[in-house]
Amino acid sequence: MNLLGQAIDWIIQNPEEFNRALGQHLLMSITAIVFALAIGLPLAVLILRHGSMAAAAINSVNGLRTLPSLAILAIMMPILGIGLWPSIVALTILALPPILINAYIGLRDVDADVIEAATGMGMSERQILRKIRIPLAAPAMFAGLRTASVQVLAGATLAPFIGGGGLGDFIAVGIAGMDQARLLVGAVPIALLALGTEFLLGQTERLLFGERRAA
Amino acid sequence: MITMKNVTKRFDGTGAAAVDDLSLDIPDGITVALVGPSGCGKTTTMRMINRLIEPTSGTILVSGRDVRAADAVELRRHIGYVIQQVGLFPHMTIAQNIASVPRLLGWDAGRIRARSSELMQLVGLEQSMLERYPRQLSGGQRQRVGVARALAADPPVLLMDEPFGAIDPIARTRLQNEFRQILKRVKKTVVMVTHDIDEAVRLGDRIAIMRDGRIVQYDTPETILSRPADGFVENFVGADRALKRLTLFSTGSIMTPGTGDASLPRVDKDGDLRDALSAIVAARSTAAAVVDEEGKMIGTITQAAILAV
Ligand SMILES: Nc1ncnc2c1ncn2[C@@H]1O[C@H](COP(=O)(O)OP(=O)(O)OP(=O)(O)O)[C@@H](O)[C@H]1O
Ligand SMILES: [Mg+2]
Repeated sequence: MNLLGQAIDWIIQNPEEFNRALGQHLLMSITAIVFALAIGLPLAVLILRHGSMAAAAINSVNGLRTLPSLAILAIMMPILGIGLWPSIVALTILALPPILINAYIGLRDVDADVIEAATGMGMSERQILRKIRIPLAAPAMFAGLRTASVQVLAGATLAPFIGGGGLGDFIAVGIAGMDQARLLVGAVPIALLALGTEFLLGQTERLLFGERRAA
Repeated sequence: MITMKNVTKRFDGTGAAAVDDLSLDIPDGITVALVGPSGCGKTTTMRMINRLIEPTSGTILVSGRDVRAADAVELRRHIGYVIQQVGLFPHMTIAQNIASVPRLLGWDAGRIRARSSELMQLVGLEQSMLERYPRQLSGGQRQRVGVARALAADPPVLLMDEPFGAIDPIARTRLQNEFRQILKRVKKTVVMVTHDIDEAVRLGDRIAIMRDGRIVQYDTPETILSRPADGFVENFVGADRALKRLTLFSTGSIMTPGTGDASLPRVDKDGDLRDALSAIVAARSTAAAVVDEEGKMIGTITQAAILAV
């Protein structure tokens, strides 16, 4: 409790430094999520059309998933150097698997009878995608977004290792200086961010798609 | 109206043809039931009409036009299609489901609304259900919506693949009877697939009995039941075919009008002759009194008259 009090004191006394780190953390995370969505969703549609590509894409993305976040950051360093951008790239890679896999499975596993009915009534492939598959896969896509967001917010903690900044800075400094209060300045907000996001997106998901599941 | 000429379908990598040199003429405005054992090619035959399956050889004409000359997607918008699992769109309301094809055809909102409400009435559903989601309906109600959706743009042709297959037997008979009335009213050319000969007899103006990708007999239910073409058909329609045939006639059409005898068992004038015979046998009688909707006796039907049909 005393440590937590010290951490809060530190934040009150160094608002700019804290806010800058928080801002970087959010910027990195949100940018990475946006990139992952921009890559993952179209890729899911693409591999849906070409079954042979699907296995290859899913397997390589799953391979990425088994790499620890730290390893991804380490791999990024020699390729992209240090700073914010390499962290964003690394976090995008972290966010891609849940987004791509959820979207792909959601799009693929739409009830075959529904597709048969849509085809039989004269919808084109494109119309089936837009009016049937995407809306029906939306809950799965959203679930992917939720998983990815939590992973990225937590994963961004490691960005300081490649000079990416963010709340992880405080943890790094705290560990280096054996200053537990400083460590908490980073750790507690990160945990709150991750939990809060999980909760908010969960509520949004229920709000958007709850009715469909009920009854 | 629908003409199939020497149509063959051979699926890739399979030996025997699923549909084998099949020819079939379906006149305007009648209902044809394709029946036969599982795997005989009923669904394949039907799905070639709206080009969900492309024939290996042969010609299919709908309203005199070769289906292969049309764009497949465009063709399907003018052919209603109902499947056993219904395939309603779960993320759309009933109203939106019914509006699917009219929307594809670019109808305006007012016309779609008017048509939807007309269709709900036709298939016997309450208007308030238009705002519900498919999940909130029973199986029978969903199947009615499936039919309303298929009829939405008033297509001249309706294809139905085992439309009652997923409905429990009691509700099924009632729904079949209602559908016969609906189909009579809308005057569509209907191709219906079933493996249930009773359903075919109840709904078909004609029945095509299939075996191994070929049609073995194509006739009215009356002829199929009274003069099966061969042993296969005879076996398929069942040992009770004479009794099934009696279901084709209403009691009212055979009775002798009169005041009737109060001591006789009573039968409904709109009931069929099988039920009338059953009532007579059950009462160990030789005749039954025929009553109308209000229960008034309007005539007599004798066992002899039934057997003479
Ligand atoms: N896509 C396909 N690829 C290969 N063979 C198929 C395909 N579709 C159907 N067949 C085969 O063609 C034959 C006819 O199938 P079809 O679905 O037309 O039968 P059916 O009469 O509708 O049977 P059921 O009453 O079981 O629905 C079957 O032997 C089936 O295995
Ligand atoms: Mg079938």
